[in-house]
Amino acid sequence: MSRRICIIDDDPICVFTTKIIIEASNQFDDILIYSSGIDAFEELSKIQDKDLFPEIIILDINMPIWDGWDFLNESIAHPFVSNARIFVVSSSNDPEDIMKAKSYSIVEDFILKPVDISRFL
Amino acid sequence: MKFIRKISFKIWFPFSLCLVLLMAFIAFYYPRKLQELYVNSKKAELSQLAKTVALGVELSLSSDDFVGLKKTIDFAAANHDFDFVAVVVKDSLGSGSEILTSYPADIELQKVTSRDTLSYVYESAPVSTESFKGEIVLRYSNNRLSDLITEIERPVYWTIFIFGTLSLIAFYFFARGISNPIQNLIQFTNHLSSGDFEVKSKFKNKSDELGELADAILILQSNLKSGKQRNQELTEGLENEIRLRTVELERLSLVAKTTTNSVIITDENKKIQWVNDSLLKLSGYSREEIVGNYPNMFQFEKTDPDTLAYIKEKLFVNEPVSAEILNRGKFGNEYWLVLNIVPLLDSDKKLYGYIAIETDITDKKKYEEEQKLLFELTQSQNLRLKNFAHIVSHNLRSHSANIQVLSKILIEKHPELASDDFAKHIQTSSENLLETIDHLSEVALMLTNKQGHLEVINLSTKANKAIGSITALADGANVNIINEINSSTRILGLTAYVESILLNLLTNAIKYSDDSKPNKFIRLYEENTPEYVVLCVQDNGIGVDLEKHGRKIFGMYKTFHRHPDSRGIGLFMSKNQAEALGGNIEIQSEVGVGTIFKVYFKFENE
Repeated sequence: MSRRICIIDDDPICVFTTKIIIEASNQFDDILIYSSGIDAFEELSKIQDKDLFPEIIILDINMPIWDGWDFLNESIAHPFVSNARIFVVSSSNDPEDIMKAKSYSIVEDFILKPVDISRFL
Repeated sequence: MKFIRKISFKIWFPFSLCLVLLMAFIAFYYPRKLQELYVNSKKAELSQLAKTVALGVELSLSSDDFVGLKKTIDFAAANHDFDFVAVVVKDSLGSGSEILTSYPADIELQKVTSRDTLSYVYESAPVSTESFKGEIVLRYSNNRLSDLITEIERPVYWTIFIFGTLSLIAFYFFARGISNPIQNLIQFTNHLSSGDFEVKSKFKNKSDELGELADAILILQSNLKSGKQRNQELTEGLENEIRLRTVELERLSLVAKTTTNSVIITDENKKIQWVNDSLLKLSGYSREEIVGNYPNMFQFEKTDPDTLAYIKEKLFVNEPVSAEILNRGKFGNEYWLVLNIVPLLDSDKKLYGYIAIETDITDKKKYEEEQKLLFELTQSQNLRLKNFAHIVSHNLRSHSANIQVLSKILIEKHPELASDDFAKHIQTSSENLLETIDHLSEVALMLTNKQGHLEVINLSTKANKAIGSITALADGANVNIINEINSSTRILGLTAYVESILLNLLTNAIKYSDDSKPNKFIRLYEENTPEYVVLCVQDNGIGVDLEKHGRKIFGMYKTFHRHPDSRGIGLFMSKNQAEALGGNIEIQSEVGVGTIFKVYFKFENE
């Protein structure tokens, strides 16, 4: 069974570095990348096969169109979230953001960028 | 009785006096008149008799005709009306007289001829005898009656006098007996009517109408007396009340007159009746211009119509109202007032006027405006600071995080770069940049988050937790940490900040401990003030020269020792955190002796 991980982030540098770190860990076979919350939601909700659903979702907060919160608000009622561990990542160390992220039951943890892969392995 | 009572003493006395005098007059006059009448009748009778006698006498004394004279004498004797009756023969020569015959028989000549006897002379009966030639005189006296009268006259007078006097006295007392009670009553009622209710009554109990009247008057007196007493008490109470009220009124009017507040009193139609001097000063109007006018004379187009409507609404239902209102004076000066209007209601809850007390708050309003502006300015600055904090924590940080991770991956990917000075410096700089930005954003957030939602924190528990987390460090430096904080002391704060402060002060104290001292310690204790819990962190470390560094000690990136770990961020953070919690940090230190940090936390009272 292949392990899949998903990065939802609009910052290409961040996506680039996170991808390198994940690849370097050799833990995952497939990395799904979306630059907007709405794209990610639409694509992820299409996946029917439970095994094809990403095991881990790394979600950025600040994004155009749908930000991280929008994604969380839409996903919360969706069945696929029960299959994934969602980590909110952000470059912001604003306590408000941290508190808000932790208030979602579907969010496993808040991770301050730069992403430290050991936090979700 | 009623009739007698109607005759007053003043009429009764002269009347009785006149009566007595009349009786005396009658008693004096009547016997004399009687005597006179009697004497005259007897005279006539005797004269007639004598005439008859004389006619029958052809005058010879020796003759039997003398019988006539005898008869006269007999008549006199029989009547007993005369003292005496005598027939005297007078010598024609006048040389002597002789009693011829008489009644009583043995009467003396001298008595018969004495001056006060009455005589009747029948002159036309000349006597001619041989031996005697003269005239016959019939002499008689009715002195008997006169004497009788004279005799009884004096006792009669005395009797009349005494009787009269006695009757006068009797009358007097009688009249007094009647008039005195009346007089007393009059006097008594006069006293009563003049308001003297204390007068003693002189009546004795009587069972007649007068007594009843007296009783009635006595009852009246006692009623009047108690009435007067009650009146007096009432009057005294009233006077007292009036005095108190007057004093109060004087004070109140003094207050109203001299207060710096403006006072307006109106009638029930809001027509102004009275204002104090303060209002004149404030508005610039004269009293004549204001009194009789209406309070809306002070309002103008800038006066808030909503406030006026609110006041009107409240006064319509007779409720007191308080409002802030902008008024204008005579010379266009605008002023803000706190207006307190109280409707004046009488005991029947009927409106009879209003009293308005106005406080000039123009200065306060101005100050409030300034404060408001200042507050808005502060708020906008705060907002900008928040934006700044946001920029720092989001935008700046995301870039520096990228740089840091990129440089790190770059070196990992190209191991040959690890020894390259440029690459190493780039990595160090990027790491330092990220750390600095983290500090900066933390401080910025702290400043914008002042006095947020503070929680109740047990200081001793937090201190123990902090001590626990640095046990290894403390043991390594051989520093003994003593926690003397009362286990029940609770403060208001944020857990993260309180923990950070404790940890920072403890690590600081360990870091700057004095290795030359045998017993290195850190002591935590309380030194509370009424408003704050003061956490004291005392050490016997190397200390710091406050004269040199005092002002900068809590500044950012200030270090005062060449210690390998000192980066000068800790105290700056701690101070900001303490201030964010509504407290402060102070330092007392002496080089070579030690340092005491005092952290002021807010007391948790409830």
